[in-house]
Parts: sequence; structure tokens; C-alpha cells
Amino acid sequence: MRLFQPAVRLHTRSMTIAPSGVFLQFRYLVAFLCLSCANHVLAADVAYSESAFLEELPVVITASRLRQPLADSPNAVTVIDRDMIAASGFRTLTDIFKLVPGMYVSYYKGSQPIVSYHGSFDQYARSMQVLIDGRSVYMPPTSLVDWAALPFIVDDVERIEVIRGPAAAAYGANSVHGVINIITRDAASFDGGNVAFTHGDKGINDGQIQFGVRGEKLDYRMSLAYTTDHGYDDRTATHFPSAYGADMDNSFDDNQARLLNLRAAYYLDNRNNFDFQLGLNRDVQGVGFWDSHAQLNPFHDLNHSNAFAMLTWLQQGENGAERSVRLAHTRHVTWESLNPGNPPQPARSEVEAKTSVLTVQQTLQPGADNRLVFGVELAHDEAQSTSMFLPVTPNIHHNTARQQAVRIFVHDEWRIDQQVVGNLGGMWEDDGQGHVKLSPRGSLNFHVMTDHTLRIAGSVAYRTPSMTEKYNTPDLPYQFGDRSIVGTDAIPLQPEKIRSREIGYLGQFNQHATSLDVRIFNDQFENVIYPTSSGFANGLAGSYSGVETSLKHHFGYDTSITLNHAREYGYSNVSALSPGSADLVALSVPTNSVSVLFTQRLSRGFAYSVAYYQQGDMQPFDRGPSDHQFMHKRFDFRIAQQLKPLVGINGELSWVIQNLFNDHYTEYVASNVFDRRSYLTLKIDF
Amino acid sequence: MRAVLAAFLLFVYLTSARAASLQVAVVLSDEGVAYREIAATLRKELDTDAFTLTLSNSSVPTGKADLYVAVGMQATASLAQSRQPVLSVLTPRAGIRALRPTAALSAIYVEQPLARQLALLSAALPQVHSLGVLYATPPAELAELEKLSIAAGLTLRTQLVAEPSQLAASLSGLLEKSDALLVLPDAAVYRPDTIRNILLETYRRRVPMIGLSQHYVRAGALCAIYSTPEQIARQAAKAIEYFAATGRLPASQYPEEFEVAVNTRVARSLGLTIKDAEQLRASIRGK
Repeated sequence: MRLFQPAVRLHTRSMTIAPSGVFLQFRYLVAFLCLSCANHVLAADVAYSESAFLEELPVVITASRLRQPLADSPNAVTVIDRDMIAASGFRTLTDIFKLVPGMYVSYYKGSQPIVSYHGSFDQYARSMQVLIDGRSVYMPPTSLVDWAALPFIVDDVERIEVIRGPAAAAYGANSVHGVINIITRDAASFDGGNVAFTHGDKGINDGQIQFGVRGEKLDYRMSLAYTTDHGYDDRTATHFPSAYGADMDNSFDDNQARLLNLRAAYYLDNRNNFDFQLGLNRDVQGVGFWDSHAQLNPFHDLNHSNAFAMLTWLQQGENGAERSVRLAHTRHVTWESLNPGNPPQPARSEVEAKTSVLTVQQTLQPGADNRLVFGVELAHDEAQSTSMFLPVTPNIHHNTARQQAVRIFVHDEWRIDQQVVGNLGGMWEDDGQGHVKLSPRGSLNFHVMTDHTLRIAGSVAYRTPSMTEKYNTPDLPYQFGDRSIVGTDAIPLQPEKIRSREIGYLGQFNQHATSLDVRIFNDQFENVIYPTSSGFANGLAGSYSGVETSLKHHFGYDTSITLNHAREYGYSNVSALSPGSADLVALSVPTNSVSVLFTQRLSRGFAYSVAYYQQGDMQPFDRGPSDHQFMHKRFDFRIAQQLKPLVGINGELSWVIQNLFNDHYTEYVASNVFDRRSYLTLKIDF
Repeated sequence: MRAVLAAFLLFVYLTSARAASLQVAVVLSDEGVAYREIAATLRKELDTDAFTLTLSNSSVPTGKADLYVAVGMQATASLAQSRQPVLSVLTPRAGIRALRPTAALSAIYVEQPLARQLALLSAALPQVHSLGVLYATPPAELAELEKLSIAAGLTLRTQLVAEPSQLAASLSGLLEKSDALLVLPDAAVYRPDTIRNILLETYRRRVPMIGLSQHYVRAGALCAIYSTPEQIARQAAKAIEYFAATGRLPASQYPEEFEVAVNTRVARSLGLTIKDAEQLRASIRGK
């Protein structure tokens, strides 16, 4: 009997340390070969074990991973998953938001996207919170989300949730119009890697390497990538005639980004884990003009360096309790050197914005019907800005500004009974500029019948003035850099306020694989900061109201369609603030916008998708009539073939055509004319 | 007189019972909680007058015994060649079947009968049409599962994991075509270091997992049907009493008593309306 012992031990050891099933089987093979034939029976016997039924497992679907079901959510939420992202064919993160009802996606330049909700207010879209894995990428010093310089590629994204409507209670400051919540792929999302290349029109050349390792205690994944394109057109393109006689296609908007993204997870034990993220993006954007504007703003590079590091400690308690401590640091520097004027004179500008945030959050489940999240956040924001232009006196302006904000937040989800779910929460914020504000939010969701949910919700949210708005005084003789803070006299500005009310309907017809989401809303805003001839000022007030509809349907496992429609109206006091002016807020909202995505997988690894985007006639708030955006329609088409069925290697070849029918439409700035473009992507997994 | 006789007979009975006290050697495969709970429950359930329990952690117990109770596969495998009868508990059925014991060997399996697992599936998720099963080694019960699935109106979708590097791809291929994933034990597929990614992928694809234990449910599986060590030990105690009375071991059997665990948070998040654990248990029992 002792003879069998080694085999038994071998087995128990291999259970814990064998890195793979093949090794496991290999060990049995060795055991089999080593032992006599009579022992073979036993060597095989010990392949069986009860351990699978007894062993402790890590808590995987933790409170922070658990998504609140849409039917219980206090807001309308649009979820875009990896499949939808792939099917859309988009190669930039920002375009994906075209699939969110009511979302405005456009471009100041090919390299400077604008993502905003409620039409187009300005090129920076200051009123949305953007979170990536819980870290805000909205830079409070510059009130800017620099999309092109984010250290992520589309392939790093697991899922995007867009909360339509204010949600400060759950998502922190700046969530006045809504929240974009980007969840990147888990550290353990793949074991192996891929290389991908994209080549296409408009100088599109992208490359990426992704690799990941899954270990017993440590998982990590890394992406290294570059993206390049010529923006809307090559520098030498003939200009496009404008209805208003202005020059079109006159700007330089090449973009070249090199980036790194790392995510690692360390599992200390079944209850504690650490998540570490690091990202760097060195982005060079071409800016300047080639026509008569060239004298003031000749071709030159606008350099961006965007880096962040984030460490999160997650601890699981009993009954779904969870504690997290997160420290995130982000540094974003932009600089440019140019020689404007006649004769040309050297000019330089640099803006460095830094933000560090410590967040401690606790989730409790005080009963089967209650989920409570509360926490505190300390934020330190700092900005330094320098502008230099030799011919003027003084020829250098420099300013540094700092602020510390404290936020306390609490949110409770209470299932009052089988039919009713209440969400109540609030955020108390001391913004470090002398304003203390409370942003409450409440909703009641009535599951009126199986599959049908009605929601009524209301909230108040504030947006703290950014340093750029406070220190950007236009009376300085010369200043460069869009988001400089070189004005030393702070303009006294109040936080912007928004009050939102909505009625929502959600129908989830699982047996028909269909869901319908309708949101009717009215958002009243006041104290909104707008640019004047003497800097920024409070005082813009008005409202947005509308109806947004989302319909999704799956035909079996391989075919699906998503339809989004938004009908929206804006109203404001612009005419009172600036007599004689039309209501620019009303004009800045497209009355109708539509997006449709149809996708189908066929046999032998072939798939295709068709998308349709339509945006109604509108006038961006801070642009003149020459930048009027007429109603436009666009069809995108994508085909993809898995390589496995054809050549036996894992990978995919895909071809995307955007604006199939070549409807030349103009973007936020009319010099950006979007015409047909296509690109081919080859991705090989290893 | 009659009373005296009765007292005498009682005395004889009691002393003879004491004299016939059964020597039961409990051998644990491991020192884990579940194994110790089995031993503790046996000690509690069995009459100390009628049974003498010795406990050993070593696979080769010293001393004489009328009956070995082997807790777990390792102890069972070691004792299978002994001359004494063995009651194996907490062991997988396939493992017992693969043994060639020299003496009588009977088991109380660790796993639930497939029919009971399918009963849980239909009680918890009546909307499920296709059931996914992932394995690296074809499970012994696959043919039976196939038969039961057809009877339950389910389409069984099985997926082989040819090599460990293919786990993720095999899983996502399977989940694309499955409404639920049933975990069947397979040491090359479901391990503490792989469960994280498997569960994340099922959650990502919104396919509920039916796990093997309450540990799976706590980790993020939707539900599981399982027997606690106490329940198994109580059943073992009955088998030992049966052995004491008849000199024979009962036939190998599945656990009679069971628990159902449901992760209501996961259920809600997946948008599933599901009965609570007690209702599910009652409805499975009623079948």
C-alpha cells in the first residue's frame, strides 16, 4: 500500500502548483509510467478529488463590479460593450459616443474631439464627468477632457456606461450634464497577446501590441500603441467651398500619439486585492492654418504629455460589504512653440495641470433590500501656466494656482418592496474656492408589471469654475494656449447649477430579446459660465428638455440591432444677456439625432455591421454662422473575417468604411469636412 | 418477578451492546474544516456506547477497526486495499467507481445527482434553453447529463478545453451559445486561479453560472446546490448504524439532504427574477 503514496502526494501537489491542465495530465502520465500496471488503477483514481466542492474561492463578482440593474438605476444609462464597440468600427474612443442618444460628438480639429451632452456649448465640453475605472479624467484646473491624449486605446475598453443626466451623488463633481464611465479591461483579461495594424485613408496608420499574463497571485496586461492620422485632410488638400464663403479645410490637424497602458492586479488573499494602473501618452497634434490665418497661427505642433498612476486597495467584507481606498495622480502638460507675426516672432506657451485624488469608499449591504455606499474624497489640483511672446512687454506671463477640494458622498439603494426601488444620495462638496454645495439626487423606480419599469427622478448638481475660467483674462497683451491660466487676477465666479427632473420608462422583454428605454427630461440650468469680452462670467440660464429613446433587439445569438433617437430643445436668456442676439443655446441643440447599429455574425467567422448616424441642423453655441452644422446623415459599414477558419491562426481582418455615401458634412468647425474614408485592420493573437 | 426478569434482560442487552461496541476508525484526507466537521458530527450522532470512534489524519491508521470511515478521496484510495469494510464519504462518484477495493466499500458521494442539479436549474431559471458545460477531460456523467437534458427540454452544449491556453477562447465560444453554465468538477478547468476569469467572463456575457458549492456562490456564481459536511455526516452515521445492525454497508448513495445557495446580488444585476434559496430547496424537494 505504501507504493501508492507517492502517487497520492503527487496528485495533491499538482492540484496546487500545476500551472496547467496539460502539466496535470503530464504528471499523471509520469506517475503512470513510473508505477507498475497494478498501480495504474490507483494512479488514475487519485485524479478524482473532492477539493472542487470544498475549496475557498476569491470573491470575484465584488460589490464594485456588480452593475446595478438598469431597472433599478436612478438614471437612464446607455451601456456599450466590447461587441458593440467592435461592430461600430470606430478607431477612436470618442466616436463611440455617437451610439448614445442625445450625445453630440464632433471635432474642433481632427485631433481635438468634442463630446458633449445637450448639444454643443463650446469646444471643451466642460459639463460632463468622465471616469476611467473610477478615476476622473476631467482636469479641474483646465476644465478639459483631453480625449486625444488619454493613455488608452479602444481595445483597452471593456465597457462604457453613459449616465444621461446629473449624477453627482454617485459619480462626484462635475457630473452636471451626465457621466461617461469607462471601464477598462481587467488585468486578467487575457493570457497572451495580440498585434494589430490599421492602415487607411487620411494618413491613418495605427499599431498596437497588447500582452497579458495571468498568474496565481498577479495578473497584468499592457498595451503599447501608436496612432497617426492627418485629421480631416492632408495639408495640401484643396479647400472645400463653404456656403458662407469662408475658407474650409484650411487647418493643420495631424495627430500622432504614442502611448502605454498598464494594469496589474495583485490578489493578496481571497478578500484583499490591489489594482494598479499606469498610463502615458505623448501626443503631438498639428495645429495652425495654411491660409490668411497663418500669420497669426502658423503650422506648428501642440504637444501633450498625459500621465497617470492609480493604486486601489479593495477589501471584501461579509455580506457583500466592500471597502476601497484609491489614490490617483494625473499630470497633463501641453506646450507649443510658434513664430507668428510678420516678421515672425517667437512665442511659447506651456500649461501644466496636476491633480491628486484620494478616495475612501465603503459599501454595505445592511439587509437584503438595502445597499449603502458612502465615502470621502480629497482632491488637490494644481496648475502652472507660462506664456511668452517676445515683441510685447512684459514678454512673459506666469501663474500658478492650487486648490484643495473635499467631497463626502453617500448613496443608498433601497428596495422598498417587490415593486418599488428607491435611490437616494447626495454629495457635499467644499470646492476649495470658498463654495460649499450639496448635490442631492433621488429617484423612485416602480416595477409596475413584469418587464415594465417606470422611473421618476430629480437631482441638483454643481460645476465648480475651473482655474482656466478664473484666471483667463483676455486683456493680457498676448496669451497662447487654449487653457492657460496666466491671468493673475481671479475672476470671482460661482459654481454652475443644474436642476434635473425626469420620467423614464424601461421595458425589458427578455423572452423577445428586446429592451426599450425612454427618458423624458427637463434640466434647468443657472449661473452657467460663458465667455465675455472681459473674461468669463456667470449668468447664463435656461433649460434643456427632450425625449430620448433606445431600442435594442437580438435576433438569436448572432444578430442584433440598436436604435437610438433623441429629440431635444434648448432655451436660454442669451437674448437678454446680449441684446439682439438669437437664443444661441436653442440653436446649439440638434432637434433630432439618430443612431442605428445593425450587426450580424455569419458562418465561418464572417461578420458585418451597418451603422447610421444622423444629426439635425444646429449652430454650435460659441461659433459664428460660418460654422453652422447642417443636418447630416452618415452610413458606416464594417466587415470582419476571423482568420481561424481560413488560415488556422487566431486573428481578424476587418475593413471599415465611414460615410459610405460620401455626404460631405461639416463638424463643429466647418473647416473640418468629413468625407468618405476607409481603413483596414489586421489583428493577430498570440 | 416479571419486573426482575425485565431488568435482567435489559442488563444483558445493555452489556452485550457494550461488548459489541463497533470499532469505527475515521480517517481524514485532510485537516480542512469540512473534514473536521464530518468527524465532529459523527461523534455527535453516533451513540458512544455502541460505537468507539478513533480519529486519524494519517492515510494508514494504526490499530484495529471493524469499519473504516474514509473522509475524502485520498483516505479512500489508501484504505481501498484494506481487509476491513470502508465507508467513504465526501468523495466523487467517478473516483469511487474507478477504485478496485479488496473489501466492501460503499460511499456517500460529495456531489449532487445530476437530476437534482437540473431540477435546480429549471426551478431557478425556467427561461434557460441551452446549458453549457466546459471540460478538459470528458466527465463520466456526460452521457447521463445529455439524456436528462433532453428530457428536461434543454439543449446541452459542451465544449472541450483542448489545452489550458485555450480556456478563455473555449469559454467565450461556449457562452455565446449558452443561457447558463453548469460547473462540473474538472481540475484543469475550475481552479481557484482560473475561477476569477471564468466568473468574470460569465458575468460579462451575462450568462449565470451554477456552481458546485456555497464558495462558488460567494465568489459570484448565481446559485449552487450542495450538501454541508454535517448533512453528509448525518447520512454517514445512519449508514454506520445500518452496518452495526446488519453487518453490511448500504449501497453507495448521493447525499439526501442538501442546501441551495443563491447570490441575489448577482441575480439582480443580471436582471433575473429568482426564487429565494428556501423556496428553491422546497421546490426541488417536492420533485
